[in-house]
Amino acid sequence: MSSDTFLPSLTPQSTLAELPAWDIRLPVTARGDDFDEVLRHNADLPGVVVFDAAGVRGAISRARFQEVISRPFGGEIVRPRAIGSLLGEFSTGVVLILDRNTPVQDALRESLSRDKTMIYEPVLVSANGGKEVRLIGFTDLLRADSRISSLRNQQMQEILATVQEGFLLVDRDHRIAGEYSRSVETILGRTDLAGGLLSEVLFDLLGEEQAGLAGDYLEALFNPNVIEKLVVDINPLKSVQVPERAGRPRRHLGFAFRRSTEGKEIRRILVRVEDRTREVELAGELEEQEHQAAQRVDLAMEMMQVEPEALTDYLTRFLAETTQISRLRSQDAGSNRTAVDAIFRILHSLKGEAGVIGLRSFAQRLHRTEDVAASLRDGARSDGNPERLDPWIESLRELGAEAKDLIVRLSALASRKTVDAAANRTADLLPALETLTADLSSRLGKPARFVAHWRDEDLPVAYAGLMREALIQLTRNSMVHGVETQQERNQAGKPACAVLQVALRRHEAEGQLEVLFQDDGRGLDLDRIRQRALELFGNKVLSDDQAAQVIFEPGFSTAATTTSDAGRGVGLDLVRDRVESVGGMILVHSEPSVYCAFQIILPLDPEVR
Amino acid sequence: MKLLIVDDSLVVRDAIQRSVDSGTISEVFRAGDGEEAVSTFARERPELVTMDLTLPRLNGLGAIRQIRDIAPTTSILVISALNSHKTAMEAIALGACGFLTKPFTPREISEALDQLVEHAASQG
Repeated sequence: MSSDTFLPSLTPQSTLAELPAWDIRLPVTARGDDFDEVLRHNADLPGVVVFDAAGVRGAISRARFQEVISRPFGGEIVRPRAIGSLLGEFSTGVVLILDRNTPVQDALRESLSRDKTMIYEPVLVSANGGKEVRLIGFTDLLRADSRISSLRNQQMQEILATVQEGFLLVDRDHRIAGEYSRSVETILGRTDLAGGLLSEVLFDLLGEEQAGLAGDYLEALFNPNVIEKLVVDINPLKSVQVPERAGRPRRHLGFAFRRSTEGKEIRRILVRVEDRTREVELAGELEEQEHQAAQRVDLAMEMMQVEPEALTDYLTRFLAETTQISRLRSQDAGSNRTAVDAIFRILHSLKGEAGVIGLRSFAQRLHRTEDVAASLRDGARSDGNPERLDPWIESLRELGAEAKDLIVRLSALASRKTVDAAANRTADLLPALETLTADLSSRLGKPARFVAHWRDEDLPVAYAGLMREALIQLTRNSMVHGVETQQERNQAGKPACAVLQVALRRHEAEGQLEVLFQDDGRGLDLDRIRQRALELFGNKVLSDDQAAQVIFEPGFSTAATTTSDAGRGVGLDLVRDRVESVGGMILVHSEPSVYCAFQIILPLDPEVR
Repeated sequence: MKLLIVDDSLVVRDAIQRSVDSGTISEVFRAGDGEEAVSTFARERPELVTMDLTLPRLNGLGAIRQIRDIAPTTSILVISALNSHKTAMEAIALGACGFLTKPFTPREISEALDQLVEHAASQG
């Protein structure tokens, strides 16, 4: 029986369960004659399992039995005796019992590692959790293994066949010789290669520039003055990208060139072309993994520099808010502008805080997510597909999870005292705003300082979060829109360094808290605001007061481009919403070229509403 | 044989010179720009030249052209960063016989110099 016709259903993963197993057993008390009888009735039987009351004692193979009885007087000795007493002679008593799920190739290896007198003995297979034992002949095992090996080899051949590599020859005129390998047709996607010009084929495949370079390179190789090994580096087709076309995806090909010489004459150039797509993709994946690892390191470094309590607070909020974003997205029917707006504001506010506490990784990813949300919001009426946000939201959640994981590990590094987080937040707000002002000042090239008339204890702890968000937005807004460049300030005769001021006052009698935020910048440009309002919302005639209020409208921005600092047209609307949500109000006062001030009034007792 | 090393970087000139096999190359000249390269070449007539492409005063391509005008069989090896395949092909078309890309390892440069010596010997 050839190995190809034996058990055609075998696969490289086949186990002993798929091999013919025999369930013929004899008690230890059966005689040699009985065994002989069984063998004669079952021509293919490779052997029997021998058992007693305690279970399996061993196995005796046909081959071994026949060998023994063929010895002089062997039959006379063996036939009348109980086979149990012969186990010692037929086997060493050590029986190889394998689980039925053992792969065939492993089973063969095991059976070959037996004592050399036992190697050709059957293998016992336990089935049914060891309750049953069956017998598999060694030759069947060997055949199965041989079949599997040939299958593996065949699969290897198939794999090799899919490794696309082809050869062709070009002559001095760059014509392709007829005897190229067939795979070249597959790789290059055409069959009319023989006699054609390589440069034309490359022109169709890669375009004019690369085809031209390839032509020059071929010329160099045909040039006897050129040292072949010393132009390998400048092969222009070492790795080239073939654009997607005619239903074929984008691919990466690699060309290599070798001279084919006769005597001293360079007759032809052998061109090897291979499809390196998978290779290039793998390299890309590897690079991506390395990039991610580097990002994780950056994130850890950033987090280590952030004040632990601020970090924990921020992360807690970040995780809660991204969950909220996911919820908003899942409720979003597809054209729900309100949901996109809400997502947008959360992103913006999270970004602002990330910047303040120094989590650049967060700020950057939030900014990019915001970009997507911005394009959705602006295009929501027509073709904005909110699904575009999902991978970004997912990436934010991953970032959050990663940071959370890191925080656990970082906190293991440094023992941390427990501080009332909320109390701490009122305390570190002003330093954070100072840092933000300094940071924006240097990034925007606008000298500015931050001055506070403020006692932390005057701010109810319940307003700490709100005030943090609001003042971050107002600071950004001032630095980006309000404060002029140094040159403008000089021309206007103003001090070079701008001043941002914040004041906090408690009006116990009125039950009000007042926060005044003011910059000495250019003030609101009401004409420009009117114009933008007209462009954005179609509002035609606005009084000065009305125009000033437009800056609190969702989506309003006068900035031509967006940066991570401002220009989104969120921020002030967010501030107004937050202030109004606790029953407060926000007003804007401004005088051109003198100042712009925001006045926030909040109920002293946050429980009022 | 004599070798002229042309590169505007002292570090690179030293790196190339360190890999020179004194058994085959008896004398080494150095130049830091294209004009100096051409004048040194005209004076010393080395058989071998290593040439950088981005050079002050006269660039590498110009220097190759002038050197090949003086002595058409000179073996010139370009040692330069591969900024554009087009420039590399131009250098070859002008008569350079090889191109080694920067950065290079000592082994690469010493193998390339061996090949260059062999090439010059066959020109002889």
